[in-house]
Amino acid sequence: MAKVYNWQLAREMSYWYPESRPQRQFAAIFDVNKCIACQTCTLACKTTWTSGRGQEYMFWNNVESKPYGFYPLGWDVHLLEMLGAQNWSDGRYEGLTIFESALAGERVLGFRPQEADYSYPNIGEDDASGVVERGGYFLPPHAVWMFYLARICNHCTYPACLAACPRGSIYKRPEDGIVLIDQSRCLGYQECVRACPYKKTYFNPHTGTSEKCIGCYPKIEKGLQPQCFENCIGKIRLQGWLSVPDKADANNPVDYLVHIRKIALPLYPQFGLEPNVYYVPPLHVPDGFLVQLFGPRGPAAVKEYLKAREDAKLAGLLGLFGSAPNTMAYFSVDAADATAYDASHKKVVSVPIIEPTHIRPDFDPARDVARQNTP
Amino acid sequence: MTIDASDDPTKQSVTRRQFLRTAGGLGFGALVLQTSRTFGLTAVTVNNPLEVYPGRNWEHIYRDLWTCDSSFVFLCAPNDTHNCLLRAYVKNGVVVRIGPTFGYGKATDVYGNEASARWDPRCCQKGLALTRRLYGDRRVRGPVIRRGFKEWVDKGMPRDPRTGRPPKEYFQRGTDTWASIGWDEAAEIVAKTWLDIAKTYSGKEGAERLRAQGYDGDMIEAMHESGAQALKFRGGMPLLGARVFAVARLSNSLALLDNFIRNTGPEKSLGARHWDSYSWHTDLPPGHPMVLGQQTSEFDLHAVENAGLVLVWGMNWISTKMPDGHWLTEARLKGTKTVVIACEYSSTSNKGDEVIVVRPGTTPALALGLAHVILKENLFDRQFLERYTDLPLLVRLDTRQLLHPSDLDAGYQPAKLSNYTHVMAAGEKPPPAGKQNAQYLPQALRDKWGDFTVYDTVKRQIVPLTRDMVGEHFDRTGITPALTGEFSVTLADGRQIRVQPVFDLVKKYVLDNFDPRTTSEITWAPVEAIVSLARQIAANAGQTLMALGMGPNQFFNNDLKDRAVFFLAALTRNIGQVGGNVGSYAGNYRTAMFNGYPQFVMEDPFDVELDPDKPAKVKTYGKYESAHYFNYGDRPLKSATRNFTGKTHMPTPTKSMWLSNSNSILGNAKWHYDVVNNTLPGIELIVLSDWWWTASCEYADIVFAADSWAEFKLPDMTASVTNPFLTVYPRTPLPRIFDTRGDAQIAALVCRKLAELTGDKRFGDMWRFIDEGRFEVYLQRVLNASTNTKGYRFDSLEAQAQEGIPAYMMSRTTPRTSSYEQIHGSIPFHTRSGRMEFYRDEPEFLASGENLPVHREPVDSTFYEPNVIVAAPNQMIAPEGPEACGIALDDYSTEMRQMRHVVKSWQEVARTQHPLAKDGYAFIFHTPKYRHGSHTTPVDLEFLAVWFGPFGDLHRHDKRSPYVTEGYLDINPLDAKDLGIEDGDYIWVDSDPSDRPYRQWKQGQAAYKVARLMCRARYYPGTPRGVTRMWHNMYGATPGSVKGHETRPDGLAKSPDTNYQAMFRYGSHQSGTRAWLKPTLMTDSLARKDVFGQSIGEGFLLDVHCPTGAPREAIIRITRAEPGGLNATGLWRGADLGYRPTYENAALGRFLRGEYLKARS
Amino acid sequence: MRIKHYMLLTVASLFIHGGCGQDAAKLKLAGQALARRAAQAAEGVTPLDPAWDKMPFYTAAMQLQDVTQPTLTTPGVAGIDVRGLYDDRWLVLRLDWIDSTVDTTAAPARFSDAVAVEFPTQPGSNVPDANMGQTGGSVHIVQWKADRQQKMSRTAEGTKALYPYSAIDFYVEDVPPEGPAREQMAQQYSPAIGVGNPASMHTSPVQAFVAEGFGTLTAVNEPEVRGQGTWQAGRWYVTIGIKLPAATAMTPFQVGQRTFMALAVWDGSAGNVGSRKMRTTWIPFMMEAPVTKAGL
Repeated sequence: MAKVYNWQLAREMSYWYPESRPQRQFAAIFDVNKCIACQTCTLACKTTWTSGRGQEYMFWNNVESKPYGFYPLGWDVHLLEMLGAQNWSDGRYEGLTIFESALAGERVLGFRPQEADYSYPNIGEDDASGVVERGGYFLPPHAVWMFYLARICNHCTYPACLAACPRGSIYKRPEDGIVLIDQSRCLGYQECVRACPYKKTYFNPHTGTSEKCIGCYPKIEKGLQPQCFENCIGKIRLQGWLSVPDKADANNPVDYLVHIRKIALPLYPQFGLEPNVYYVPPLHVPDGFLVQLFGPRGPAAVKEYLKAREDAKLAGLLGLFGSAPNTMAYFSVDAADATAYDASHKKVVSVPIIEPTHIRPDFDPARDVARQNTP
Repeated sequence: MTIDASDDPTKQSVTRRQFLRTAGGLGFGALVLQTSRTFGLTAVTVNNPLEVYPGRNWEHIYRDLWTCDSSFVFLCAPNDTHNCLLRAYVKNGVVVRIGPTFGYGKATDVYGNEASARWDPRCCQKGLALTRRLYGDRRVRGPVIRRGFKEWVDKGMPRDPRTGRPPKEYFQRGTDTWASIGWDEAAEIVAKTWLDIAKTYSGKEGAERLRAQGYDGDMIEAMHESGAQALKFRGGMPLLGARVFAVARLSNSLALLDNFIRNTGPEKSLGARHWDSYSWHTDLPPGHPMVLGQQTSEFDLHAVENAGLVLVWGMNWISTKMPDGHWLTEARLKGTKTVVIACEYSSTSNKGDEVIVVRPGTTPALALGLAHVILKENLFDRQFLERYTDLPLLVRLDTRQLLHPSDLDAGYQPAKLSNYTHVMAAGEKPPPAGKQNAQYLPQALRDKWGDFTVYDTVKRQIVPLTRDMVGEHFDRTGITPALTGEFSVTLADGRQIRVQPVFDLVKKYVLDNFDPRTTSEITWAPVEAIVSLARQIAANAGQTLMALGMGPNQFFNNDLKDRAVFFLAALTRNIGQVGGNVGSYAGNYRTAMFNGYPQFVMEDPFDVELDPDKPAKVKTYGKYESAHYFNYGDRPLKSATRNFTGKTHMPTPTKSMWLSNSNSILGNAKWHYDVVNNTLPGIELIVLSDWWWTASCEYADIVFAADSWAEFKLPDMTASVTNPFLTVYPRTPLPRIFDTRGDAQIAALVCRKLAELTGDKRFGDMWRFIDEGRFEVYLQRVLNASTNTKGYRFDSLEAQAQEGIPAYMMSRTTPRTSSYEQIHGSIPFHTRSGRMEFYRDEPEFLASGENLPVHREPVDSTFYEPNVIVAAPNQMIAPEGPEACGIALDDYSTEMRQMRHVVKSWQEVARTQHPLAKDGYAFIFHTPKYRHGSHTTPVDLEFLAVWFGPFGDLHRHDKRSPYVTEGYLDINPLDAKDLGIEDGDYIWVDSDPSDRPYRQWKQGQAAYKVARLMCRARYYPGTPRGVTRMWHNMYGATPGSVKGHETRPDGLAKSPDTNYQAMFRYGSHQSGTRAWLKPTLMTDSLARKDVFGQSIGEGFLLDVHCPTGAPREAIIRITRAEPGGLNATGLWRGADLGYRPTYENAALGRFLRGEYLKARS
Repeated sequence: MRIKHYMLLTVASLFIHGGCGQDAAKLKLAGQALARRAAQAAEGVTPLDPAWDKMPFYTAAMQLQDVTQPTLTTPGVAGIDVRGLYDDRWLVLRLDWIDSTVDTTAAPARFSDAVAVEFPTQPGSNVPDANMGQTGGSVHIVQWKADRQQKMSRTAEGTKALYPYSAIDFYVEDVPPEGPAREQMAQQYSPAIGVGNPASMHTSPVQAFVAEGFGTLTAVNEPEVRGQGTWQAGRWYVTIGIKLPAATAMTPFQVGQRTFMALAVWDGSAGNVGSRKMRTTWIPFMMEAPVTKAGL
């Protein structure tokens, strides 16, 4: 075991390998308040990468309703229970990570889902946190609530799958931080399946190897966002590059939302993997639940998000999401428009903060025709 | 030393430098690589895979998987209003995946207006899943014919000499088997059968035969002795394209068939009948034409960017308007207050700043309750009411009719109308819709309607008010009309009567019946919600968007809902503003977006225009009728003594039906099993043209194999009522995968056969440009003749579409905003008075007790007396009661219920109960649309289906499961526990036994086994007690699917003969629904704008004024059938392991309470 | 503690295997395992060939793999009986052990029974670490896996075989007509097969590897190895055949010279996989020189 620094926990922690950060880190922002659980991301991924034999049950990307949605069944609740209740104090994590709480003879605290746990991938869809008896009137935070949590591999800075593989067949690409399972060396021990707390590696019984989200590296290498981002019609996703906190760049949309505005938070940071998908938490959910999922900054992030109502820069940036298939490395916002740029600062797309209203003439003499809203 | 790296993992290598650098690292795996030469091999050692990994050449495999040979664009347009241009990616000739085009941000119009990239991406999970549908095993791979039907044809179509009925044995639909058939032979059989049917039922003999078959006399009379009138056509939602409308063109051109049989000539010949779509789907909000005089009010959904407050009211915006869901969430983050009103904690509720949960079917009461607060607190905009509504108009308290100047002065001459209005002399015809720049009124109607009166509080006298006097034109009159007060007036005949403004009458009704407490009792909406929301709407006058969905509209009181909501909107100036308006969202329907369509649909078959550059000559021979009568058992609505079906609405007997790309009217029809068992036997030919084997195909006689969207060889075009785009279906380079043809080509082929049979070549001429592969000729004619598309060239639109770019529909405004011209241009509404009308004094409305916008309880989905009018004693509400209509006062049967007009105060109603309550029918059963299907498209594709609800399982651990997912009933957990039903159990669901699942069902019948609904129960905490839900989007059980379920080794409910795949073991969500006909939707007197253009007429109008049914109404009884656990033992896994609502294990309990992480600071 | 417990198990297993009575007891070897010169060709001798019953056997005492993480913490298979035959071309070992459950499938959360034999790659008594060898001291491992053998004989579509009611309309890779296009797509939609991962190729029930320490196991396609397993009455009987290198090669397989072998065994239903296994330390092993009748 080595000592590494996890900035999400604001402390050092032990990890199987010594710290080694990639030249740049794949990162994503998911705005939960925009997710509509349409599963278009899921189908985009499924039809692109996992429609082969042995992959039928496999969804590298899934969207589940919280609190009753799970894929696989009970994945997070089960591990939280194994880990036990933990504490943050003054922004520093005082509890144990899944590396620090590994049992004797294990590298990581984990468990293996049963095959049947992958059935019913949409269990809990739309199920509210409590029973509605008759009529109701709910104001934020809603008395009963649910929200949609879109999930992919977090391409963690400290991947549990990578630490757990006895063969060292899982690695992190230095050029983009994407975590891959070497399909030529994996012998299908399923140790990564046991170790990944997000349960985002899957065993393929046809090939006898484990497989996982590849961050669509064939697209990333071309400057394009992954399939589940390009196809996201809720426009909740933005893929870019995350700097370490002290290197945060205000023109980098991911840095801006994660480090500067602190609106986007990691999922279950307490597990200790420094995951690189960052969620804008739902604004209608009780604080306690937000803290449990997104860490101590949950409630503050919601307050910050609500400032978009008076904050053109924030509103503009959030409106940029999904407006182009390209990776958005930089952005700028002026009075009326928000603009995204690629890694070489070339303009990707520019969108208005408010979609324009067009008024056409009621009669067009040149074409001798009336233009009517009720034709 | 260096060894070249290669793909072979057994020959990995690194450089000597790496070796040395990392040697002596951590104890674990100290060396990157050690080369032992034994067996000539090398063992691979990895040091720190966070830092460096040897041999990454394997990564090529995913790049290879990603790489495609080519791509092309096609249009995905099920009836969901979104019309997404999608890009298909091709490898080795196979479409391997589908994605968005990112071309919407490049859309423009002829004026240089530009859309933004915020419109991208447009697609959804259903569109992406189509790769599975192009090649799936339910693809219709070529024309097929039902064996029994073929036998009947081969035998020379024998019939009973007296009734004309074909022998039953040839018509065993659903259980019969199928045979492939050639295109020509199939088309010839259809043509021959039409000829035979039309001959059989033409003339007096034909009428006799129909009488002998027991059809209603008025229906037979409506045929006017033309057998062609017994042929029915439906092409799905016409706005979806000209290929769909080709069916209407076909129907109109069958006048040639009538002419061939009866030799009636171009003047007297009748075409066939075409069914409705928008009203058939219960998408039409039937109260909109009552208030506005036009089909529907709506706004493009991105208008929400301009709103201060948005009411998402019985509309599941984020689930059913997916690509436009972001407009709602983005407006919200920018400060638009979002209030979600639904009968559950819906998927859209989690995007709501405020959420109000209400009782289903009580929308009229809620709207009136909100109006109560606004009236009481004087928060309404008086000036708006005076300028744009009928609320100042005076009503006679003696006749309950509007007071006209002619009542006071026999010699009164109606004023000459000039405000955007042209009164047509007798016999005068309006110009084509695309050339109309005024409202066209027939002189006869103008005379009949006359002018109106208000009480001028300045002059202190009653003064005339004409249709012209709206908006600024009203201001110029200087009239200050009374909104309240009772006035006495002397009629021309000297009689003294009392009159009162409409406003005062409505106000009295609202104040008497809908105070917040009563409204709360009726609707379940908490008092504070009602008061707070009403005040917020008033505070956002002109900036509140009310987006109503299918939910409230699928109840029997839907027209009253519209009238009440518009009253609320009018009080607060929320009409015709870009950020303040009323919209109804269901289906894609406004064919008038292309109001030049008559150029294609109504081309005169007797005088076909074969010069591609000339416009067609238009003449209507076909007739339209609502399919709701077919759905009702091919009957009109009549009581013992009264006919409630207007003459203009009267249907004809149905002997043939042609359905193209539509599963809604047969396979997924409300009361489906009644249609199958009681109506289909009377039908002699059922033709489908589709690309997927739907439940409808299961019951057809001939199925033509149509091209999928991705295979179009004829282009087409469509538009939307929720987004501003004109989208073209481009021709695609994908070769046809199977033996399919374009829908229009199929119609053309059958007509060529008719030409051969009749020797009338005009049948063929009608389709000349389709045969020549030049469909664009017809499409260009339509573009040239349409108000909002003139100036576009089809070829350039198609070229853009092939790049994934649509065009702006050139409406007056983008976002398109209904009533914009009325409010901002002071032109009249398309009503009698030129104003929004809240009072209806036509005889049908007075007889129904609906002259005022009242609240009626739902016709079935209520715990109280069904269909009762809720009103304290009120002299203005005096309907013709049951006895007056030949109905016993205590007859609450579903048939009579529709015609019962009984008035009770809420206090009285609260003491009543549903007639079946005593028998355990205690649950409201509603069937809304789901996010994982657009109707039934494409729900039976595994990768999509597995997300369809909580029971999706691609490995199908439970053999009982009909498919990789299955239908289920959402029920409140506490209700389920009371019934002894566990989460995931199989249950029986029964609705009113008098008529469901079908009339005259009997225990033990094979048909009953197929029809009785069995499904899983799903604990759904978001639904209130007493309210159950089942999705509308599923394929129901058929005889074939039941046979498969019971005989296949894998237990799939998949027909061994056709591959039809049901999502139920038995029955379907339509086992619980039935047909309902509402008298006020069948009047001959309602004034409304035509579908195309600005001219105004009265009575029936397809998709505008006709029945809508009430498919969301049913009261059910639920009984446990089987345990949900594997192999019918124990609990369903999710519940068993404690991960389901009310079954929470200890850990899930802690999780729900957020106990696993605490933050201290 | 652990040792004691573990010896008890060994005894138990011997007792259980006492089935062959006196002869079995006579044939029991102590101190080393032997391979005997085969009367006829050793290649192709099956696991239940009666010839094995006449062979002397050595009972290898299994111990927990508790050296590297993840370890095995619950003892599994206690002992493996080892018999050997060889001729000029093949060395064939017959390994058998008690396993009440037949685990022939590797699937999500399901693991296969397996056994492996390990030899140093170099001759002589200076052997590397018995646990997968060590840096500079490579070992040669041949593993037999029940699921590899099962997959070779499986007729049904893989997924249908595992989940008989599963319903998939079609696989994209099957849409093109037979030929290179279909082959190409089949490879791309099963990436591990596409890159030739030996673990995905089920041409043989056994696979040869070379290793130089934990985590270094690397598949080898030379030399040729054979293998077959049969489960009968609560025991697995597995043959592993190794084609002997040319006499000139530097190899541990020299007739009459002592070398070493180590064994590892996995009980699938106990979750044994990878380093979660029972294993041995080095066991002395010799390909016994032929002896004359008189010698007996």
